[in-house]
Amino acid sequence: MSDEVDGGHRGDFAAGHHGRVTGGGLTMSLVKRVSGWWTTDRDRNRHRPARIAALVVLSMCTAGVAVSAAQPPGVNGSIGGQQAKFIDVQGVRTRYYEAGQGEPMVLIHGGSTAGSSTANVWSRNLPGLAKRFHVFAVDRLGSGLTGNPLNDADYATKGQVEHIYQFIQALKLGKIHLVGHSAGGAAAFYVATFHPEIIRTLTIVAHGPANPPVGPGPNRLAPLLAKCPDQTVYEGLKCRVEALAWLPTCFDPEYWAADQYMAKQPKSIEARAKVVALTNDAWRAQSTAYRQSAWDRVQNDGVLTMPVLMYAGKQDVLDWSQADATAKLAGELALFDMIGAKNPKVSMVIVNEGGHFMYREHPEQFNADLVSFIDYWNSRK
Amino acid sequence: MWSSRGEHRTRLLSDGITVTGWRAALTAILAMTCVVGQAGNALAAPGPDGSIGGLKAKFVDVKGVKTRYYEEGQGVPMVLIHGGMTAGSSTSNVFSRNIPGLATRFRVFSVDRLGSGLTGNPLNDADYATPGQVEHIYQFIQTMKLGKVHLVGHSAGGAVAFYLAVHHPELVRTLTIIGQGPENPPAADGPTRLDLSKCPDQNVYEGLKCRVEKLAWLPTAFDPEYWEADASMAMQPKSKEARAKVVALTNDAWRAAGTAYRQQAWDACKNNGVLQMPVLLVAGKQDVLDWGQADPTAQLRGELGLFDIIGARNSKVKMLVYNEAGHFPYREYPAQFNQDLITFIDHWNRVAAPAAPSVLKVK
Repeated sequence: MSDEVDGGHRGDFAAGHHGRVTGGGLTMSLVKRVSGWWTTDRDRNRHRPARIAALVVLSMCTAGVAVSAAQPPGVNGSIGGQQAKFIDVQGVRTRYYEAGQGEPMVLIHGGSTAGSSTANVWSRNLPGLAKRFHVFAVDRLGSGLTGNPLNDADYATKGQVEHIYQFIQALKLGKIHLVGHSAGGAAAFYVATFHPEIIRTLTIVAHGPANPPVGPGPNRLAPLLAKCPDQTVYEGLKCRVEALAWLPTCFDPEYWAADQYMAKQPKSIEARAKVVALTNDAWRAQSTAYRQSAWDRVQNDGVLTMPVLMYAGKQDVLDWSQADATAKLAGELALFDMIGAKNPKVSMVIVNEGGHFMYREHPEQFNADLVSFIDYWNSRK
Repeated sequence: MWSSRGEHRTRLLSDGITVTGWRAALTAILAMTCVVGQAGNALAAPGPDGSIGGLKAKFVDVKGVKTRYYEEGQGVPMVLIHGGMTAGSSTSNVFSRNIPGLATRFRVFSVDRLGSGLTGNPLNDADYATPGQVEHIYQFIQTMKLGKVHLVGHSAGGAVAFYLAVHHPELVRTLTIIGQGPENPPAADGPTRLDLSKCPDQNVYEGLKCRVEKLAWLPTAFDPEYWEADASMAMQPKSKEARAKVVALTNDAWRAAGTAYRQQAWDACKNNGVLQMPVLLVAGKQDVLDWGQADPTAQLRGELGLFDIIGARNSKVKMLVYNEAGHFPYREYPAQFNQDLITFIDHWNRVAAPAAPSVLKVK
């Protein structure tokens, strides 16, 4: 069973031909071929039993002392000793955290709409980053306690992006440091692509541009998701988030209590139902066209000239159902190639023992790297 | 093809100069240099000790071998180990752009490896091999009474740093490895990017210099002062002797011993987890050191392979990949590299070892 998870039969990828037309293709084939090294050498099987055991112990502790250890969710889903606020963004009540002073920085959470992630995911980073920046972490349109789109069309990515742009405008933040994780990394990428004039620096965490080609390796996420409830209900989304974490310390009872409180709101249940109902071939085609228009702007027009930091967890298992244990890193390196083709100011950090939420798993390291990245480019002005 | 990227588009260099193609930039820089050179005051002739960058080389006896090094700054000691093959393709001068910045925080040493630069040749031929190189650095650290050091190595010097950390982990506070993958990855079907066909034979200095130039990505990586000092050291009789020795000594048995030594170090990492100090890996996205493989991604694959070897039992591993950087990212972007290195060390200094989020303990 553990072989299914990490694969012991990687064999020889070197002979395989992976059509390399673009830099991205090159990189994808790169990671696929290096995978022969890392799946055999880096034995996740060694970690997994202990990791599961730790999770079990953690769960038992949580259940046993739920009343005292798991704090009830704070007002408005607030956690981490912070207090969420609200602002009207073009008619949509929008929940956000604000902390610190200095140049404005906006953090965009990941996840699909309404239920698998909120601004709370940045709770371990806000205090540290607030020592240097005027930090905002915002619930995306339809997520957390931010209201749902006024028009159904705005459930699509374009609506998400416009909401963040209008949030920045409503707060009169001017030029910002923009940081996005996963689907929020995509949103940040799009905001920067279509509004480069408001971006000081762009940081994209755990996001690759597309599903890389299928490889011969094992799928890492599917066996984990097989044990999860349906992805259209909160419990399924929560289960998926847990599967994407690497360290058992990634999420804690306070986090989950607030997460569930927000995800069980009628507006959140409505949003999830909407997304399911709206998603069809035409919807997906529209999304693909939007993405392609952004890629064209980046690759052909070079609109992204601000400093870009990419941040990856070496053990991120978000492989998008590819039979390829290295799919995630391949996608992230492909995005590096896409942005880097016309932008020399791109660097990437890959951290060991980091999953899809490495900024929660190693918050001090992430904050230090982000601050250093911004400091460096500020010093080069 | 990646090899054409730099030539067919306009790139913004780190210092804000916009150039079209690196060949044009190189031409411009060479032209500027010639003009300045004729003025007669831009380039100081290399001193007899090969010093550049306003630095002043020193010498110390290391177990009977006169050893050349730079020393700058105060603080916790940091030792920089250059790359290249023995005697002629690299010296401690390669860190000339990093030493001043790093010296604002550390007591920085950059040392010519055994047989390289103006460091003497091995007293025994056997020490031309990697273990001899590693032992020489170890003895340098002992001779200077440095105690625990931050160790930084580039390319073949990254391998030396890796081996030194494996065999003497008690000496190493942090380990930084630049542009070094563990071995030649298997051949694939892409183009080879490192084209040495126009270079002289690799057994002579001109061939080694030509190779180094082709491994750089930005035309700003090396300058005339660097090359002048490099040639003056590489043309010493001792350097010529060292190159001839390496050629004469290299045979199948020699290579087999090198492979066994390497495998032993890998096993120590993967199976025994001997490397528990924080480790930083640094890669240039455009590094063309593909080891003759028909594969333009060979170098980054090798570097990710080393990540896995060390990371298998060490949670404190991080890798940085710089865009528009070749085999010498620390010379191409010295301010960025210095800052990233300091950020890495500062972070792990703050997170004292007992509180480190070590998976091996958590799980």
